[in-house]
Amino acid sequence: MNAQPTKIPTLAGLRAALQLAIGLELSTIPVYLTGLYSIREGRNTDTAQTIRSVVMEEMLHMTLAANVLNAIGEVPSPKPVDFLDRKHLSPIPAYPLDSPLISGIGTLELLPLSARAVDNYVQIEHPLHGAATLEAIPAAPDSYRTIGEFYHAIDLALNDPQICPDSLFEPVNQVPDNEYYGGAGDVVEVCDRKTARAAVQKIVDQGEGLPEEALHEPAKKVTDADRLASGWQMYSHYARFREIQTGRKFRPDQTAGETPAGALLLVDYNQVEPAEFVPRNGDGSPEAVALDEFDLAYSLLVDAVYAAFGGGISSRSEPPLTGLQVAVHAMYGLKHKAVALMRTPNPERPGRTLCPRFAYVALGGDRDKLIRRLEERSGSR
Amino acid sequence: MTTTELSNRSDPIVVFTDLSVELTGYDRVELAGTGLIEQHYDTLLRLIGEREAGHLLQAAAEALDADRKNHNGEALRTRVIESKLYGPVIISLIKLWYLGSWYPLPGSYADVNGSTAGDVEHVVSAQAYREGLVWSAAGAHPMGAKAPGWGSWAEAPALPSA
Repeated sequence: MNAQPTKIPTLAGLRAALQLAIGLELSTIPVYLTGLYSIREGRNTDTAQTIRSVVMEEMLHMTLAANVLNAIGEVPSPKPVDFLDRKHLSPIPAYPLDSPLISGIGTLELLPLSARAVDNYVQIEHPLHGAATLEAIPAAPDSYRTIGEFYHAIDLALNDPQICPDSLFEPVNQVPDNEYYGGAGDVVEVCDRKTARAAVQKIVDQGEGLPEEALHEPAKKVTDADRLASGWQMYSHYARFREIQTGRKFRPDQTAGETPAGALLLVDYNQVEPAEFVPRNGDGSPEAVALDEFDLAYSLLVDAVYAAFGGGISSRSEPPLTGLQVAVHAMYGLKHKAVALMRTPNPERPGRTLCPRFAYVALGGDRDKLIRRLEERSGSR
Repeated sequence: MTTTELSNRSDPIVVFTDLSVELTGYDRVELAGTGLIEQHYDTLLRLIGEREAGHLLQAAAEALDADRKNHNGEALRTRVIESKLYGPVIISLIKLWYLGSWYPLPGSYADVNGSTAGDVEHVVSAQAYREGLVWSAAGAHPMGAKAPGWGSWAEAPALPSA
């Protein structure tokens, strides 16, 4: 296959790519959340802290991609897009997910914290997704082998005045930095080419699309913005997950490509709820209803986030909250629902508990059906 | 499918779960989601004694069986909830699920059935407080736990999706 990554030749292509970038960042979040929420209360605190910090940054990246897209004149949307010659690609993930865009990333699965789950995390965040060389990753037309290639193509297009003239950039619907809290990094408000590229660079620096050379740089390389006041160091997602995978911290003099050889990082895979993903079966049991309720709550949350990216409705509270602030409340609500599901035995799978499916049910007929089913069910309860 | 079709109907923790579903109005998934079924079961046994708990769960199992046949809640109401013997325990059990605290049984109960040293008012555990059903019933969150995010206090409480 040709060694040159797919070029994005038009503004329409760039806008579609950014729609898919928002979805790509979203698609990693349930994968990590399933691991995080499966950890029993008060256990594996270092691991939980690490996964949580990565999730926060994935949310930041989603926001950054949305800011860039808004600044080049398109509102983020969960609707399917046509990307180059590929038709109807959905930005919204359905699990298990084989990325329509990044061939090397592997199948994204929803697993409770386990050695296999952490292997998957490392594969997602590795510059080559675990492959020895870029060439070893099978390529497909109009897609990318790595997340790095994908963001590189976006950056090239953003930097091309033929595709993006200076006059194109406008600070529309920008999520401001003060709406992001609890994680490392900061939101770049995009108003021109320079800030657009800086926003993409921030995504790449923190995690997704880490260049291969980074493996030869210090594992604990931290930019100032990524050093929290508490002293918690936000080095790359790859390095953070490698520490969980190996059960060792990096020493300060190690490079990211080495095997961590510092202090022990205690991970107890037994202190985890034995959640197991099962596809929808709609049998009307309280378990099936609870899983459906979660899907509905998740779908409403995804809609709320996109609405916020689209300029957002604010609540009627006083002082008014922005759309994203309200969506954050729904995120906490979703967490408590997920934790409760993972404690609940699945009667059909002895020894296993329920696992939230993070299934987005699109607005329209399917959403209406789901709501109706839940309403009928609650009437009979 | 009900829990009892899936597992042994005489399994005391299954009886306890089915009884709790009837007493609280929450289904078995919602109760399991609190992570408290076993803890509350243990608390009951500890505070009224295994012998008394055995009587209670036996009576509850028989009443629940009868109610399943007759499709009503009459047997449970008359034989357990309104019973002189079990009524006071049932009240403490409902409070336990909702508030996460154990409320002591009345003297009249102790006079007949004896009492245990732990039968005093106390919060059973941090988790029992956090996961008390009162919070979800009120569309609120436990003070000091399960925080719903910055600024959420400016929004009206959301009622549980009935």
